[in-house]
Amino acid sequence: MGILITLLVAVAVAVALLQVVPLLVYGERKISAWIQDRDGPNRVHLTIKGVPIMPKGLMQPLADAIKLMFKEDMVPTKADRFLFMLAPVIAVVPNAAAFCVIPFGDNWVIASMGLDVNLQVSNANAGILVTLALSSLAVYALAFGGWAANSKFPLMGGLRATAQIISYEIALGLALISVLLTAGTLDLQEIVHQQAHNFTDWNMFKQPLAFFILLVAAFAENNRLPFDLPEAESELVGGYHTEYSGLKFSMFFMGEYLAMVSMSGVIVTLFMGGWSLPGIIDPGSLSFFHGPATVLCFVVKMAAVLFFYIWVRWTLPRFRYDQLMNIGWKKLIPLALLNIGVTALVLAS
Amino acid sequence: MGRFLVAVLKAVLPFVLGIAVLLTVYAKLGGTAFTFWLSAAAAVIPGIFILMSEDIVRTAFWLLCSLTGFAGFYVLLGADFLALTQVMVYLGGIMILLLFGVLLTAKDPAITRRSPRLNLIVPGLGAAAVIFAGIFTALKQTTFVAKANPEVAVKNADLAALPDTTVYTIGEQLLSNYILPFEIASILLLAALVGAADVARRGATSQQSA
Repeated sequence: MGILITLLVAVAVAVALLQVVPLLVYGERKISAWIQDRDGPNRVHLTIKGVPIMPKGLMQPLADAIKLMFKEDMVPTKADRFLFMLAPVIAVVPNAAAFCVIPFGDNWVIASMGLDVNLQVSNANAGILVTLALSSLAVYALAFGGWAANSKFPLMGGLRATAQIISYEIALGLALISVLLTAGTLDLQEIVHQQAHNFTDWNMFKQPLAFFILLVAAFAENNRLPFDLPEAESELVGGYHTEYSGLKFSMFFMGEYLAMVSMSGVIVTLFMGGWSLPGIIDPGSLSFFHGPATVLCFVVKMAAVLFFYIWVRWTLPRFRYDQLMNIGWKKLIPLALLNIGVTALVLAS
Repeated sequence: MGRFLVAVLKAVLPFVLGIAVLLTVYAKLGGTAFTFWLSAAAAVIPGIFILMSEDIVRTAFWLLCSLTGFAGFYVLLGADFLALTQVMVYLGGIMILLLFGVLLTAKDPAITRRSPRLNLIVPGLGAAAVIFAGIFTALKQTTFVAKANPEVAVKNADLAALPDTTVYTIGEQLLSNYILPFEIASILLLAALVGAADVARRGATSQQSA
């Protein structure tokens, strides 16, 4: 019975993650249009016998998906076919799997069926390390993708991406260390419980510097503007995915959005109280509605972080490459180390 | 329509069959043995490809698979921290740096290495035999806890009986009993870091002055 419930939760999470991507793409296009004073997608709709089921524009993601599916699947003649096929898969899988340890809700007690569902795919004790380990694998998609196409722009993009991601991974890890120092545990569910009682307990307020560093590093890790140099359209055509078309291209696209979703899950869990809302949604309630309420709270918080991602993308220009490396190595890493030192001193005193 | 259905079936069938086979094997072997054989396959089969592959980036990919298999063994032995460190340090760090070097220095579209030659097989087998003999003797002479007390072994054969996480123990041991080796290792790494920076900068300054 236990393994069946775990399996159900896992399947539900996987399906939900894949559904979030088209919604996010739609959101990105709508919000960018709003920021730039345009309309955005406003044509594709679903009307059955005169009854509008989907309002205008909302069917755009589906139309995009169908278009991508039926595009010709091109492979450059001199590409390394095996790695060329493999790179899009690596782009999706680790980024989606990184979500598996994130608690997206409290234990959901369904008294009528005698169930106690843990709303987390895997409650590994070293949870946050699993996310870090898996998200560090996603860089292979960019490296292999850039290499396998055997073409100049993808190689440049792949190189930039690899250098950028491994540089900012250090700042990301160091920012996490200071949060984990205050939390004293690697168990993500436990970290949420610590933040559940007061808004002032949120690590966002206890560790503002770590929050800032993690946010910046997360933008760089996910290749989002202002750090989207690996795929700088104006210089590199499309970066590591220049030679990809059709579904393979869309898998890179999905991987990028899944990375954003997983990363925002980590940010919400570590810094913004996870699924809890002090005073309103407290942990440990036995009510049937407690489970759905915590999930809803988590989703709303995640949506806020994702909105921030999109907002920044459409307001800030791109950094130059040397600026990017300077920020990473000469500003963020020393700041993060300083933060660890100060945190350790405060905790020890 | 018929062709479309055939195409869909051709795409879906391998996955369905693969999942069915995996589930059957899982049901037959049970969790522990299943994980063991899966990790073993993931560790050994890519090893053969590493030897046979001529393209160095592909070799990197197979090494990736092989190291993941070893991480599986660590999980199986209850060393969760070691497994995650393996993935983070070796896969996420060292391997990608090596690959980065290859990408950066590549002049030819495909960097190839020599495929194994016949005249290397005999010395290769000899070296393999020596290493195998060494490991075998070491295993033979070690007294394993499980071998000494069979009752404990039976109790620990279940994955659920293993400790939840090794993180706390490792942390405490590193900062108490093993503090000296830990610090020496960190100084060694610092020296390597400074040395690498110096080597890299020396080239840059001489270029500027020239």
